Amino acid sequence: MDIWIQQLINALTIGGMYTLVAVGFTIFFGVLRLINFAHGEVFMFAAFVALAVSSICVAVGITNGPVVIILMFLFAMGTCAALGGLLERIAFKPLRGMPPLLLLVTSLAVGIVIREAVKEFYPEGANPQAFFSPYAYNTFQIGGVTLSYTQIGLVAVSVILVFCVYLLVTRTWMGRAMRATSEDRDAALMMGVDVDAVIRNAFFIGSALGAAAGVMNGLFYQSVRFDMGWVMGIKGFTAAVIGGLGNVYGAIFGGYALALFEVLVVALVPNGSQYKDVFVFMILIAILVFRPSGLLGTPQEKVG
Amino acid sequence: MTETPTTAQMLSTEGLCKSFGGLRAVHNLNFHVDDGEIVAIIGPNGSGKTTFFNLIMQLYDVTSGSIYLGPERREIVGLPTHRINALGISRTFQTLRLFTNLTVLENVLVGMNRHLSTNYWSALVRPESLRLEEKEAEERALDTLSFFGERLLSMCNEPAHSLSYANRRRLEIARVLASDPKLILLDEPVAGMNPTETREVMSDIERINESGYTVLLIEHDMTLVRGVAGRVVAFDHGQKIAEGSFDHVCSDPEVIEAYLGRQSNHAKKRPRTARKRSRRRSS
Repeated sequence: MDIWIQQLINALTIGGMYTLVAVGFTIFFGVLRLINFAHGEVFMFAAFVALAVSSICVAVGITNGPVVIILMFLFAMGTCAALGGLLERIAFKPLRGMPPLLLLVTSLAVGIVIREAVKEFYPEGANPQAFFSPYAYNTFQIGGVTLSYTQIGLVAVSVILVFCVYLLVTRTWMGRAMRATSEDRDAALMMGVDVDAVIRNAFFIGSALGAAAGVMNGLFYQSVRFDMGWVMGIKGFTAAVIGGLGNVYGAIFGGYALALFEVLVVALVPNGSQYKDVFVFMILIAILVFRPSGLLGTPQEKVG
Repeated sequence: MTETPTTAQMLSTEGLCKSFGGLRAVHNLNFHVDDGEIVAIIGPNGSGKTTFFNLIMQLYDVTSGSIYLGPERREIVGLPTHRINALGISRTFQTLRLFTNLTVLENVLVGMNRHLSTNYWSALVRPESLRLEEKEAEERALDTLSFFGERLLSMCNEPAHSLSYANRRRLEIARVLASDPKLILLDEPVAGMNPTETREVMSDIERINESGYTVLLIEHDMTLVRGVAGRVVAFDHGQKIAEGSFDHVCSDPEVIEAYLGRQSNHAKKRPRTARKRSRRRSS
């Protein structure tokens, strides 16, 4: 029994990260019909920004754990929101109105640029880097379940952020405009929605959320690499596809569902931890073939 | 009925052209709608009516010519589409384009977006001022929905895709009204409706017009055009071929030819008398 609770909490932790990345995928697709494969690299970039922040903090003598962690989140999310906005402006906006495939290929190229830039220009960027995670070994027991403070913190952060996204999407003008734009961009334009502003905001929000996931990933695994964005990109994309691309609630569901599935594979399949990615990609393929609009999605009628 | 613009002009175009490659979808169009009018555009399929609407909304780039809005004749060519809406033109669509996964109320609220502060940071903190603003907006949206009695009000928290076809058309009109336009463009408002529903839409359009909105509509249903339009404009091949009262336009030989007479090239080669005879028969 305890082992299941333990696994469930693991699922919540990584599910939070998947969800945060998936929300980005889904809103980029919603507003721009863009499958943004640079998003995984933004996630990785955030982890390196946070790593740099922690190094600088240590260098100037700020060693108070919570302060450093808060600074890491703030800087990583801020930098990546700006980076997302920049990508939108220089890489995707000039291609407005072009076929979605062109945007997709552009996003791959942008992703390569970010990945290689980190590898080349971050000191020792090609090697795995130890990540500052002061509470990873501070654990406590409830019944037979061992929990680290980091894990509890990460679950809390992701749930809070996901809840903020939910509020943003359901309760605000911007969220309503975003959902309207996702359904029918031209109709939204003609109803007076400033679609350019919606797209810009989507990139700020999506990238900042991906950045939060990047920092969480570093804190959880205590190590970051320049090439960790690719797998996370595919996982986030899979989570978004499970929920139906363009559907924010779907991405939230998809992120946690995917994590739960992964944890179950690890627990139930012999040598499961080695095969979990295989199962994830099988899920991706199966959903793309049989339910391309996702488990929650209503079929996408109009595209473009 | 001749053109005597005694009242202020709401919308006018001069030499408006739009080509798609070699196709002249709209060609050298001089057109005007006066404040408070109901004007109907008729014409065969492909005559450039919907293209004209899309040009007004600046969804397409104008090839050449001008579009002016209001008595101050403000040039609107080149403005972004969402600004056109802000200046007071709002439209419905020939094929319905509601936000089907949003609720009925939310669809109307999207139409009101530009009237509201879009600061989304404050939305997370939800200060009192914002809550008040949202409450007011919601009341105004409900008020707009009540234009159609209980039909939409009773469904206001249901997703738009759960509405019946006629109610969806009504919701499109409600969404337009909510954006507080001066000029409303209706693209085939009764397409696919039965005669009873058509009559109801006619009275709706009259009510809208009486509330002070200027209406420009595209319609194939001649009952509706005859019933509501103060002035009728006929299009063919992207050009205005006739203009005036319903009876005047419908008896115009060019209009009749546009609708009925151009199916055969050899008909044109036939002697004039034969063509005239056939025309008389068909009218």
